[in-house]
Amino acid sequence: MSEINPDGGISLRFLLDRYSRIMILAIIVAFMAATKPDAFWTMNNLSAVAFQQAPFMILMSFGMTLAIITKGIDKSMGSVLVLSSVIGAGFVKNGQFLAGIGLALAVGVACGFVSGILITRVGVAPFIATYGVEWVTLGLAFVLTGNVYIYDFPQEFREIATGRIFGLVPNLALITLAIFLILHFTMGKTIFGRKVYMVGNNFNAATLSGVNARKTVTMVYIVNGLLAAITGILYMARLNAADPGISAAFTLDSIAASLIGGTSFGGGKGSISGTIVGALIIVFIRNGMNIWGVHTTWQQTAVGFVIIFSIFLEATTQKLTAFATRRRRGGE
Amino acid sequence: MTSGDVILRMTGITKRFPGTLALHNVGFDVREGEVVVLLGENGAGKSTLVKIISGVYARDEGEIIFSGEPVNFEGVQQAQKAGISIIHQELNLLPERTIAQNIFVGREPTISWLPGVIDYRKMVADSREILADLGVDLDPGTLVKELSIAQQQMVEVVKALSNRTKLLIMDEPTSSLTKREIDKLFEIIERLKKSKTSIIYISHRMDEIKVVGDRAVIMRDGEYIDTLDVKSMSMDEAVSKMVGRTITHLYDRHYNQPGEEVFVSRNLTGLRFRNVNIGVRSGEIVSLAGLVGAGRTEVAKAVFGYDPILSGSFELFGRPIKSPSPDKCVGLGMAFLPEDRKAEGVILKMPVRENLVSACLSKLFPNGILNLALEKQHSERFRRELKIVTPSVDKLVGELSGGNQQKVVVGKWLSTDCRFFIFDEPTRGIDVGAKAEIYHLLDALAARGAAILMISSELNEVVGLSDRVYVMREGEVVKEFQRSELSQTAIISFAIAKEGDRDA
Amino acid sequence: MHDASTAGKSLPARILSRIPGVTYGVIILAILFSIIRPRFMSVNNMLLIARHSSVLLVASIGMTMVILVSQIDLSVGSVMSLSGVVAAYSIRSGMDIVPAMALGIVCGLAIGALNGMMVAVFKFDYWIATFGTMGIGAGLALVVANGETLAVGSAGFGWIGNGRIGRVYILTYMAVFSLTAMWLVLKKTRFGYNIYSIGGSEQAARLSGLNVVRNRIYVYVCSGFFSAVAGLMLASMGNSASPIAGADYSFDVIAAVIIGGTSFDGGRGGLFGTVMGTLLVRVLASGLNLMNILPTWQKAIIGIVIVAILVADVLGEKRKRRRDAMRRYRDE
Repeated sequence: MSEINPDGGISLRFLLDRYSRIMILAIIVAFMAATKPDAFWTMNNLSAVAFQQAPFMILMSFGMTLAIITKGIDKSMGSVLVLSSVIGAGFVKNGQFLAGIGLALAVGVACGFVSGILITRVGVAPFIATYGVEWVTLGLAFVLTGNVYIYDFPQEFREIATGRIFGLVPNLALITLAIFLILHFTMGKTIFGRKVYMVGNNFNAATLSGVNARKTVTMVYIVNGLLAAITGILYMARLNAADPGISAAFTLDSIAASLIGGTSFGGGKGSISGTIVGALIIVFIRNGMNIWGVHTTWQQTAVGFVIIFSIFLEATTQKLTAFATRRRRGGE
Repeated sequence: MTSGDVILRMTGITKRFPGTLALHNVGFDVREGEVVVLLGENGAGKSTLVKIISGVYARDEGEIIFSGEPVNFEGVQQAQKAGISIIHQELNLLPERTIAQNIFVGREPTISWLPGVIDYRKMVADSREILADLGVDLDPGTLVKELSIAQQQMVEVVKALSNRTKLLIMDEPTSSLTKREIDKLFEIIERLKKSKTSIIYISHRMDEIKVVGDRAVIMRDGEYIDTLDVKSMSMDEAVSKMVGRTITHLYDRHYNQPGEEVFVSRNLTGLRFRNVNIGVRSGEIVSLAGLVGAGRTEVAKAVFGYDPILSGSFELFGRPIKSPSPDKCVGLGMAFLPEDRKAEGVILKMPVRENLVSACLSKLFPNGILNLALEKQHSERFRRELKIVTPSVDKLVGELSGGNQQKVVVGKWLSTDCRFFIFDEPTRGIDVGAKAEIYHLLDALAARGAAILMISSELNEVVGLSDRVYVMREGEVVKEFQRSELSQTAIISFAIAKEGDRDA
Repeated sequence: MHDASTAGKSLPARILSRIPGVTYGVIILAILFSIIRPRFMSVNNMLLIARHSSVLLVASIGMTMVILVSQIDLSVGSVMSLSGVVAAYSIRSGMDIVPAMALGIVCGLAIGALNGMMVAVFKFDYWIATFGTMGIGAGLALVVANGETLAVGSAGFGWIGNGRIGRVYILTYMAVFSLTAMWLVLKKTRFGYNIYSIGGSEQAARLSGLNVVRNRIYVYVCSGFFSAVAGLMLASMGNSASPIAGADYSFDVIAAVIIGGTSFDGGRGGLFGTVMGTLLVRVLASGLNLMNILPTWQKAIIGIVIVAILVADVLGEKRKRRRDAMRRYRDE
């Protein structure tokens, strides 16, 4: 999170630390553009990736990143997405858009609040607390829908995700960009963001500095719930259906995107911009493999390898750091 | 004095850590059945030395001859096999396991015809025997977490001795024991001496050293200074050799007329203390003295809202506080500098500047938005004022030395509007130079009208700095001293013993 | 020292204080269900519950060990899928049942060893490392099966999953045997002792001369082994292997272990608690079935019970710890 290179100059470790993920992404994109220009490097394919596949995953990954920075995890994000969208769906179908959207957001906030309280007040481990919330929310979603799709929403509602502003910029991309900017600013430039990093790095030290660590963590889970609900609404508008079966995939992919993006389960480390790159890497790997005609079955293996590769990169960076420090100290 | 054969001979031991020379050319002998007391200030290298002897660290240079053979232990187990055991300063027990399991951890007896299968019965029987041998009345089947700290300490002793030990190293074994338990420990030491076991004993308590030691080895700044005969040495001689010459104006206090009451507690009771009535006025440095485990840190943490308060109340700046919380306390102008600096005082993986502003975020950035330029400017100011040695305020705190880390903690609180400071062991583990600066700072704070409550186990700093001293023992305040009545012996006698069996 | 007051707790009291809280939950639920539906207590129903629990039980043995040393293994579910698919593929291509199953187990051992190396030797974050192998394992399972469910159609293989000796299912024997064996290992052997020591305090273990690295590797290998066995059991039940059969298991297994009182802090808990944690879910599911509760409702109810038990357990533990602190202090 330190924006400034503490050594004053530009070192290899600094470059690796900041740009390794962007380089991976660039290599993937360049490789695809060079080898399959007519399938990959087309407006159709790129806009499909950027405006149809990536936004949902990016939004979910943002929430997961926040949770992991606080040394937690939010297993319930996928299921909160499902619950909030099926609850909103009923109203939306009747044409009450605002009520539907408002209710969905409220459900997201409520779920996040419950997770936050379980974690900070009761003291349940984040993984287990959100696992419990996942069961309950997913269960309720099944109860409410009877395990069937809700589909066919009014066109005006679908415009939220499918429309374009001035017929040019897709709404979905614009919303994602707006949320990215808000979160990026919040995490990097506000007291709240600073507190999140402090709490993730060292909960006790943060508390003893007068930071209300419990409140901070609870807020993070509330933001997660909100993000899940927003994603749920957009997903519903985009696909024209609310489907209780999609929860697990979303959760796992967003963890993967956060990890590849440099967020660490050790807490206190990670960034919103890193996560966006992590999510794009996953989306482009999937897209590239599809274009190459690699069977979809390989995609998960590839994602697994990228994760392991990125921790190798990280370990190497740390070794370099240690080496550089030792050399400098020796020289003094 | 018993003078058997030399069992341990060290020559030219040198150990470097990144950035420091921890030990330089240290050498002395330990004979069979004698107690060698290792004397020296914090940071003199005693703990490093005994860690080398017991195989925790590897030495860089020098030679160790144990039982007539040159040894080069790679790891604790080899040293244990050779007959060297160590009781570390901090407890190293498994709270969820029984006493027997703790005594034999790593070398459990197995059933002869079933390799790898533990003979628990033998383990319990052996433990019971060793416990009885040493006169410790504990059931080997009890979980360690159910024991008191003192009882756990006894288990550590038993664990170390259960190992056919020829040389036992004790690193401040009495720091959390009561008088009666200390007597018991000394009894055990006498018994060990009779059975030809040698002991290296590290302690800060001069009174104990006289009782238990045969010879005293004095170390300073990582070097061997001298060996004295305990029975004939004078305390002044030992202390002056330990300290060298730099001590004279360490405590430069400007006493001023105390102002209004900043902090008053009434019958404050928490998890490990009860009925604490103390007060601190502005311009005063008040110390809480006592042994480790007497409940001093617990009082501080409860007042700061970190631990629960069970009954009683306190007032801060004249306002009664019902249920304190750290953020509320900071808002009211209270600062807490914890004992465990690395775990609670600073955030090691964040840069110096982020640590320096961490307690005053909303004061510095009232609209909630960070301003990097302001943050830099602010932290540069405190770097200059406190002479924090770092190439840049962007450096991670974890890469600074202990003394500079402590200055970051101090700077973090100076940058708030706080007027009531609790310092918990402010000079633990930092070198003499940095110590002097911290003392100077405490004095300056008090002169500016701040109220300071200091918790310290170093009696000389308690005596040297305080306006008043409260002594705590076993969770209660047992004595209040005014400045004129202060002396190390008076404080220690109240800290250690119950009214009845105090002999001072 | 007044030792009598702490050491003097009677033996029954001491045993009682070591029973994980979820046990009472299981007992209360069982009593409740048998009052409402006496059929619940019938031998047949008990045998069914035992059969349905067995896969999860075996899979959770390894996880219990991993969590006892304060770490986690997210790859359990993927290893289950992989071993099942590998065995099924081998049988289909003409291999005998026993070597085919051995091959499946080898896959588990290999992934376990890889996890162990990454975590213990190279000191990678165990969440990320096992998340990576989770992806790799799941992907390889899909590749081997070519994304489809492989029917085995071998009578011998199917017998393992559905056969009985006497009235008791083979699967139940396997689970009981594995659990007993590993319970003995944990409670009675050097290896088991080492696990508890490392989990209790890694520093204390190291200072006592334990080889922490080697023991950690063994623990992950064990986890791989039992996951593979569980995967084979799962495949044999349907006499077919699905490459996503194990997908949800990692998280269910972790939950069962944690609910059973083994804590992330390490060194506390054991297999008895894990059995109870697993039974909780199965007893609930069975009871709700007998009460003709709609399947859609079951998930939500199970979730709420899990959360309730977790909260009760954590709060009880907190109170106990506080009482202990007070008592200890009075003794001094």
